[in-house]
Amino acid sequence: MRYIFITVCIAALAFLSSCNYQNGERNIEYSPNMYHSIPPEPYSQAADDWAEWTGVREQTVFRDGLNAQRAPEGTVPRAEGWYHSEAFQPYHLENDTAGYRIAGEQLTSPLENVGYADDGIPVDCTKESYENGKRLYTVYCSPCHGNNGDGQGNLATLNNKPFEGIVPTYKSADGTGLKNMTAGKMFHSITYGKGQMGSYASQLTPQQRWEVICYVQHFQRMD
Amino acid sequence: MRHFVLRLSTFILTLCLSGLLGLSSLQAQDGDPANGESLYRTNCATCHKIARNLTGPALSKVYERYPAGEDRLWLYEWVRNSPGLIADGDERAVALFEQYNRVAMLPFPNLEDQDIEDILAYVKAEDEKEPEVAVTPAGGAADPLADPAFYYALFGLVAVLLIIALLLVIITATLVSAVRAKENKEPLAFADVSNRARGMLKNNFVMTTLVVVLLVGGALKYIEFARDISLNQGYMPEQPIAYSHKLHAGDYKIECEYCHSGVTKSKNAWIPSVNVCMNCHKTIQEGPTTGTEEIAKIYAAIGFDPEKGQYIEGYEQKPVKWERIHNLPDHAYFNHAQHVVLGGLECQECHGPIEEMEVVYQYSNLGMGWCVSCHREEKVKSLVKGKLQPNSLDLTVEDMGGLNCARCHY
Repeated sequence: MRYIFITVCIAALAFLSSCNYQNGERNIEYSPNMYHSIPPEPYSQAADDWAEWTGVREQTVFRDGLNAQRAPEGTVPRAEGWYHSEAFQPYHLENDTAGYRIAGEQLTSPLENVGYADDGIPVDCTKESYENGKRLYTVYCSPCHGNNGDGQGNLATLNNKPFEGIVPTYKSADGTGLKNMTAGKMFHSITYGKGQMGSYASQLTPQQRWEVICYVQHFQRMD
Repeated sequence: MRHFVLRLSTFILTLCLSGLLGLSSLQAQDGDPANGESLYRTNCATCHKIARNLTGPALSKVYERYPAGEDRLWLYEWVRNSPGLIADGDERAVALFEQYNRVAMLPFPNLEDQDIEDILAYVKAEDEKEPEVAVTPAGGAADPLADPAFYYALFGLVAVLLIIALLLVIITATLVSAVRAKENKEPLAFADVSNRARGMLKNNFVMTTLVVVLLVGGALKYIEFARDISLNQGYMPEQPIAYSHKLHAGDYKIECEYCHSGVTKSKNAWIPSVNVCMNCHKTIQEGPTTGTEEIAKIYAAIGFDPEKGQYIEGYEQKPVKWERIHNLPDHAYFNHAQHVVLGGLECQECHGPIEEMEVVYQYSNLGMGWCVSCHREEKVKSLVKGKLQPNSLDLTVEDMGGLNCARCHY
């Protein structure tokens, strides 16, 4: 009897101490149905969560089994147009050569221009928009275009330098590169991508794109 | 002797002359590669690479595709005004335009014939260079000491050796005691030891102590285990793509927000969809540690042909099934934008040294005690002159109602 008792104690200790989840396994939960959302959560996969506490493997809300659904075509995000009624409209130009040309000729920034100047270089927006643009530029553009808009970003200068020599500059002395690019063309390029650059429409709202452009024009106006 | 010197000098002179002649004829035909290089860098490099397709076709052997004569004249025309040629309906121009995804090449009206020849000369010079030997990345051979399998193997070996040693001792002891029994000598001390052990097991004091120690130890262990239920600190699942935060955020210093753009906008920080990967990996087709293997998974997900440098039309895209690591229960609400924009927290304060993680694991335990202790201790930052700064009143989140149940549970 005693032997059995001792054996059980030791076995229990061994069992408890083996409970760890370091190797890619999730820990156990008290009550899974309080942990897992019944309505679809974008980053929890429906089939897995349902299976965990209903035992039904294939049940999911959407036909393709994905909880992170794409918005239907033509959807306008609610937050866009918060500041400017024009930006409420989806971008109307097509992703082709004609669209690029028209953007360059007709599109102008809807941001309020108060004649703010940074270090004596005038920019076409308020100080707040300019500072936002500066922060966004540092996050999204500077890895390739460089902190000074000269195409010498981290990806062009660090380690294997994968982008060395292929990023154009905003401020070349001889006027080549992107020195004379108009704001409309920049907006078109950020929205659809251009050349090797991808579309940033999923990362930057139209408002943010114009703020970035306001900051970039600051480079163009430098000597 | 003099005869020999004369012959030698004539020989050298001839050699030099022929060399000079050859060089000059080369230049007249091909242009100046040095000037070509600088022109190439300012005008072409953004869209063309020599060895492979980028936005436009690879330039390797372009001088053979358009040999001197009519073809070369057409090439001049194309470089100076390709949109014009396409608009005029030039058969060759339209075919090229269609082949490369209907992306028109910018017109370069300021490039003279000689400039284009210089660029071609540069391309030819590059083509004739020895192909660079692929350098194996430093530390490519895995360090055996860093591999956990090494320790498992070591542990297994030691265990096997111990078992063998134990078996040998038992066998020897049995044999020795058998021999002694046969010779009618005293039995081995081994039997005494086992008798004494049995005696101890029957002793109540020893047994009670043993049981109490086991029970108390078990209870402590159980409390520790129960407290961690539903918490996943250290959770480190294997991801479908061996994405390295160390390489991207550490070595290349890409901001977290670049991929996790939602962090200032929404509750979730967003897991980037594959189009964000493609912002760079359209160009970077080979990585320093895993080569093309892992990057090919991105292409398979979005439908990109790295050979042609184009997206495949009508491809059925397959989203990447990342394993979720940080997951709060459904009954707790957490908002990234609130903590990052208003709270001014750095990502690393909760997520740990992400920029050093080859594989990401859960750094904090994300339990309620962890939330509450921060809400009690951290001073709220306030916006002073456009910058978030610690407030002068030493207000904590608790002082502002940050410990109300309904703050997070609703």
